[in-house]
Amino acid sequence: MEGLTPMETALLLMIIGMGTVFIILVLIIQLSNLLIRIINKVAPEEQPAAKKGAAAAVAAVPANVEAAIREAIKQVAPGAMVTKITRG
Amino acid sequence: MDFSTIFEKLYEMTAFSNIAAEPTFLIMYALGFLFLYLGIAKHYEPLLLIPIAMGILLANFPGGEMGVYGATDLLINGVNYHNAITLDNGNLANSFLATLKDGTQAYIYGDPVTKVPFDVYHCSLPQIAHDLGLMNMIYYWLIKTGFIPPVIFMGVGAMTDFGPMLRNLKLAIFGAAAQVGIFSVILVAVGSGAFTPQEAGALGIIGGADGPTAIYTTIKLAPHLLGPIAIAAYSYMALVPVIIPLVVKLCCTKKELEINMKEQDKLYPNSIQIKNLRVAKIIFPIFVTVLVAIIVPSAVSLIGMLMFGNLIKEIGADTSRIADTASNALMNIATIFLGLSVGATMTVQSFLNWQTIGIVAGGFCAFAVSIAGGIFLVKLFNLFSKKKINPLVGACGLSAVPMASRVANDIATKVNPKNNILNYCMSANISGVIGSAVAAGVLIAFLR
Repeated sequence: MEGLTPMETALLLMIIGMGTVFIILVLIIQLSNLLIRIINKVAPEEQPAAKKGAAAAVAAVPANVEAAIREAIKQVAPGAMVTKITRG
Repeated sequence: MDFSTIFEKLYEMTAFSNIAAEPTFLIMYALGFLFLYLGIAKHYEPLLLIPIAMGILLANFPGGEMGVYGATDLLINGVNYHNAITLDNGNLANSFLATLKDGTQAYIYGDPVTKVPFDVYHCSLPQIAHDLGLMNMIYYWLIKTGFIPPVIFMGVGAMTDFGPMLRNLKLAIFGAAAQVGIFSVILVAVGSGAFTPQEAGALGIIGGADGPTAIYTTIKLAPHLLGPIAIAAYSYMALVPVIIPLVVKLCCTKKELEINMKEQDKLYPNSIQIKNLRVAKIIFPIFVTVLVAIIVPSAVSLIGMLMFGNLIKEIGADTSRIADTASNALMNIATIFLGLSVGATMTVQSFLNWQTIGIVAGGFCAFAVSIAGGIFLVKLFNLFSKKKINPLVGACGLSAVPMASRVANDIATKVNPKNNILNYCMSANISGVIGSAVAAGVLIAFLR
């Protein structure tokens, strides 16, 4: 920056600085696009994680066990209403 | 020894005598208390403002030896000495009285026999700690060497998710437009004649809205302005929720703010979809580091560390231990030392001058112009493109992750509660971090 006035230095910095920032980000954007295309071809697709626990929660309580529970609750707390019995 | 002599000695022992002799200290205390209030009660960047505020208080109690002395070139008896230190008083054994270039007399840190100032960069750390106090040792060891900002950048990298940027790559270009504030303010600051190009560079980088970048650039270009520039940078970052809405109000119409990015995506979908985001996220930091290292090597200390931090985060379980240290323990340690020592550079001599007012005003302009720069590039895009972009995305090109995105999203959802643009904003926001670090690299390469 020798031989330039401070104002000329500042102007030059503006042009070089903004130019460099734009060039780098354009390069990052374009090359990342290329990278993603290559990865899409080379790397296998991500498998969505299987939902665990969902099946277990839905598992039904055997009918005879459910009847026993309902009977027990009726004896301990007459008038109480059982809405749902599930396995923990 | 009579009573009056005892009281006189007591008075001299306490800080009262110095404060009475130089009441400007009181302004620094007021500033310290103000930042403590803002940090504690208003929650403005408390992790940094509170250490900085305590640093200011510690540095300005005379006799505490906690203030940081800046190193400058001094002309004594016609000889130019590098990195010499001017002391407040002659209490130190390693000091002598010298006449400076402007005819004033001052105590200089150096050999009292030969009357040669010490070059502080050549002094050992134990000597600095012994003669100038602990805070100077921390400053010359951790801050002046430029060690701390890259460490913080590594932690920031380990906390950043480049996923939103990879999903909306095109929007990343607004991170470049929002650096225009940096260079415009440099132009004005140099034009005003109050700042040298180096000082203007350090002032302009406030517009990058990135604390570690601003501090790193200032250390390299104009270390004597470190205190006010760090304060301005972090204060304005804390004020992002005020500044962005202000600029958006001045630059955008309601119709523009209503642009729904998700609907635009449905109308004009992206040409490529990422099938394996995990692999893309691991390769991305390596590739950006190599690219930046080739084009702007001076930005590598920041970008390289940012990307290293991100890489160890994205790899996952294999490196989770070091990623955890980088983003938690190490970053917190770095933040403590950075805050305290930056605060300690704000002594009366270095802070109470016209340049500080210039920095406060210039910093605000840099912020505002950067936001406007991003907004206007979006407007330019919208003129030529069928797929419209919400100008709030451009406003986020100004780093300040993730606060800028949150603020922009708040504005968008206020106009239309269904218009959630956070992910799109994050793309420009994260690329703004890369943009400001690259801008810093250019400034350091050309002005240093």
